Amino acid sequence: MQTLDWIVLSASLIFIVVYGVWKGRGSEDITGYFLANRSMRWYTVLLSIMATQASAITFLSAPGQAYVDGMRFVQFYFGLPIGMVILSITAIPIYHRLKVHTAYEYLENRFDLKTRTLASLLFLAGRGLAAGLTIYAPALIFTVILGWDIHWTNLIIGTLVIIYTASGGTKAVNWTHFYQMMIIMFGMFAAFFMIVINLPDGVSLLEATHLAGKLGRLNAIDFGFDWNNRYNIWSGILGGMFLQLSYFGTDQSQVQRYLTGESITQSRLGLLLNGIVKIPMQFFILFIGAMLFAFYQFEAPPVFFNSAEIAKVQASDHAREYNFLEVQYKQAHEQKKLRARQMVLALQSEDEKNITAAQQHLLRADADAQEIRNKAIALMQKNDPGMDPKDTNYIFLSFVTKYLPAGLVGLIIAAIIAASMSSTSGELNALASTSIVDIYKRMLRRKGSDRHYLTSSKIATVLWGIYAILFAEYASRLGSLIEAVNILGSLTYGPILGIFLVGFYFKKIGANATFYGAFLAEAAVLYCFFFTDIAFLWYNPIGCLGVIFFAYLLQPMFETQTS
Amino acid sequence: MKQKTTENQQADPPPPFFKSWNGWYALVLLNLAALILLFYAFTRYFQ
Repeated sequence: MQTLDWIVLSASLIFIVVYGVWKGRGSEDITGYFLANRSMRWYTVLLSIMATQASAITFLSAPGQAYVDGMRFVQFYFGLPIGMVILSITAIPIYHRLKVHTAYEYLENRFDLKTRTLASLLFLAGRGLAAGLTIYAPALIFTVILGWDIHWTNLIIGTLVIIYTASGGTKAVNWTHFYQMMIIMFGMFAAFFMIVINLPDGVSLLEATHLAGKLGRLNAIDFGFDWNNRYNIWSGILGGMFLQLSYFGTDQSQVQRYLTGESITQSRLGLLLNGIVKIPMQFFILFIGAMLFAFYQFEAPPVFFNSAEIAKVQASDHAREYNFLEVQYKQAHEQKKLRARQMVLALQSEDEKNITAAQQHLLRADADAQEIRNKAIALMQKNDPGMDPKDTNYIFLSFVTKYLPAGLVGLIIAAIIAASMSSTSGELNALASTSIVDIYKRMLRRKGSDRHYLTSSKIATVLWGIYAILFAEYASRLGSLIEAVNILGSLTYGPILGIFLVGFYFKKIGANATFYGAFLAEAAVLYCFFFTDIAFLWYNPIGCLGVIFFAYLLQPMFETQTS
Repeated sequence: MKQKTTENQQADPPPPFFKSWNGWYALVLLNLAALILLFYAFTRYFQ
């Protein structure tokens, strides 16, 4: 990074913190601190929802995912618009009319205290771990690509977030989300523009798109049904819908965003517009990855984008073998480059026969290069059995640092850090509101003053922030456990959603049947996780429908007990 | 801590552009259907 990059990066981050602190002034009670006095317009709600959902990994990983696996990941979001409509009809009016501060407050109103507490604790456990990873994951990538110290990176990102989130609460979070999304989108458009202008002479954007398509990277839709296939249209619409319903309807980090809407109308508009713009945005980010793939048909990519692993293998006894593979890979790339050129000429000739023949040659050259890459990865694994064989998270940032001009590199890194900060601030804000409203105020100290709860909320935000930083610092020692932590959310989301859906739609089912039904459904989800290969998106419908099913079965038993 | 769940408080402003929220819900779902069709055409065209 050059001086100009540091100036752009520092200015962007300082602006976010100062603006957040300034906009967040003036809260006098927890309604002001956690819900911005329910004063937000739809556009702030919309951008805040989007910024909370889109973490740094979204922007780092999605282009890499399209580079390696194509654009089929976009189907993951197909359930989101349906979820937004369902929540606009059900959850938003109920939450607004009850004037709740957290989603879990509703559960006590509908069921009882133990159900509210169970849902709150599940949220605190899952989201608490996730907040640490939201800081750690991008910090790890910066360490590898930019050589930053991971501990300082964790500490600085975490501290910046704590400053404005603790001082200004939700007002600061929502308003900084607004500008963070602006920086993020500007950064992504700039990156896309730079990929296009870095394409070699004689290769247009349309031809690059054709090239990516011929190599299977524009596979946005897959109608094939397979329980074990993570991303197809069915798992996206059905599994995705349940996941998005859980996330937006029952996860306080999202619920809190739209509870800040000044009316049902403003909250609904925020959610529904998210249902309209989210998929095109995700498609665009994935398309950047597909274009990056087309770009690297003409520019030699590294064998593996995680340079730290390359350095490890080059310093080991396998160095000679690896260097040989690297030479082979370069030769294979030259062959592939030639075939890609032929493909472009065939496309320009518009002769179907030529195009088909060129595609076959190109696919073969791509498979040859891939085979050498796989051998290199296998060698790295032999050298370091604990290494992650995926390098998707490093692809986009490698391109940015190598091919983009000074200033723009700083802007894109600022965009990625802004994404990390936006998710983390939403999470800390929600962790604090749940801790204070559902646990402290409800069970430990019921008759405090407004000032007391406001101060407690700020302290809770700082404590959760410190916890997130400490977890991020510790995460590097967790190794493969990190994946387990990531999956944790999917294990609990379905049953939590089930509890809420029983509350919304099954008026005859009572608290005890729902509470114990949730335990049985959770057991079913855990069984699927430990003993089957069912893709994780299906855990959400299984958990959710499981609660409804078991609660329905158990209800007569509890009715008998009561009578 | 049972709270009242009565239909209450101030009247909520109507949705913009449509007479009722059903128009908005239809718009979101039609947009999803259009995107799926568009992506399908995109996948097929560039395959």
